[in-house]
Formats: sequence, structure tokens, C-alpha cells
Amino acid sequence: MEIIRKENMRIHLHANSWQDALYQAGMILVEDESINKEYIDAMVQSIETHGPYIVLMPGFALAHAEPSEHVLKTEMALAVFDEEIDFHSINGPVRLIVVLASLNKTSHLERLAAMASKMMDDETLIERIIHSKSIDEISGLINDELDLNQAS
Amino acid sequence: MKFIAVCSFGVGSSMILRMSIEKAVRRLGIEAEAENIDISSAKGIPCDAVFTSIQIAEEIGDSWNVPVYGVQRYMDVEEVMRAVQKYLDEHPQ
Repeated sequence: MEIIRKENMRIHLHANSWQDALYQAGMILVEDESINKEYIDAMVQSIETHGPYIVLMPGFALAHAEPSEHVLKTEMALAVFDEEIDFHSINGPVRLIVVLASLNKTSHLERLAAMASKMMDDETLIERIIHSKSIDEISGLINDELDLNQAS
Repeated sequence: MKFIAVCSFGVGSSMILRMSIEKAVRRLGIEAEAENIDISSAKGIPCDAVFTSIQIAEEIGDSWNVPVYGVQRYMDVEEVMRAVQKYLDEHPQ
């Protein structure tokens, strides 16, 4: 299973604020015609309302908003920033943002669960993604079918 | 036992927290089911404990009639195990 398509991965991004980082990461899915820009606004709004809980682990944020008419297809994107982005989270700054857009409450589950399971079972995975030299390398870490079958 | 994982929308973060709870429950060897749900639907759902972010836990406070536990690192199964254990210690079965 392909969890995140290589076409939806970017590395060496630069952002001057967490809002800018979310915008840039979200634009991958706008360009891919998976979401429209209002979905990015909703992701920003959610953090303004409930805090930076999307920073699930040190270095890693799972950006998402509610399934809505602003989602055109269920898709994920991955963005690695060269500098640390401060979300004012107790988990510290972020360099890896995965954007999740889902048409409903279930269509994304299999792929998201597969990625999350890998990250839970291998504590070094987030750091290895952040320090990857190429998109092929990241794809190898995330989209590896063999590991998927072994994930508990 | 029934635990629920709560986030704003019930689709992303809370699903990952639910997975961590399920792993924690297995490692602790207890019988419990876990469900993820959005914050606006979660209030009033029958359950034994709620797990969510530190900030949302503070938001909820003691306004719900169930114990609420904040988790800082959603994918850190060890931390989630400590939160579940805290519930078990505070609410002996």
C-alpha cells in the first residue's frame, strides 16, 4: 500500500511561522486538487481554537481539519522544513508536517493507521524522515509494504 | 472498560491516540475497548475515561462526569500506558 504518494512529498521547505508552514504544506494538496484553500484556513482555525495538539510528537505535526465540502478527495501530503517551526507546543518545534484531508470519517483510516503504527513501533522513524536526503528515501521509509504487513 | 480518545474533529489525532490506547491496553493486559470521537459529540457518551491533549483536557476540566486524562505525546505508547495506569490506580475496579 502506498501511504503517501511521492508526488505529494516536499523537502527543504522554509516557513517563517506555523501558519505559513501549514499554508505551504496544505498547498501541496491544493495543487493536487484534493482540497481547496478554505481547508487550510480550517486547519489554522482549529489550532487557534484548541491549541497545537496536532503536534503529536516532538518534531511532527499531523495537520488536518474536519471532513467538509472543502475536501475534494481523501489524500495525504508530507512536508519537511529545513528550520524548526514553532507551534508553541509542549512537544517542541516541528520539522515534519503530514497533511490529512479526508472526505469522511473513515476513508483515510487505513493509510493513516499504517503510518501511525510505523511511527509507534519505531521511535526513530520521525527523526529519520526529517533527516532524509531525498524524497525517494522518505518514500522508502513510509511506503514500505513489507513493514506494513508486519505492523501490529 | 471503555475509553474514548477525543480531538476537535475525531478523525486524525484522536484516531492515532485511540491506536496508542489500544496498544497500551494490550501491553497492560487489561480488558478495554477504545473509540475516537470529536469533542462536540463526545460529551455525554458513556465511557470510563476520556483521553485527549493536555490543552483539551484543561478545556474540559471536570465539566464532564468522567475522568479526563491529558496526553502530551500521542504516539508514545509508554506515556499512554502511564495515563491508563493512572486511571486504573485512581479508579480501582
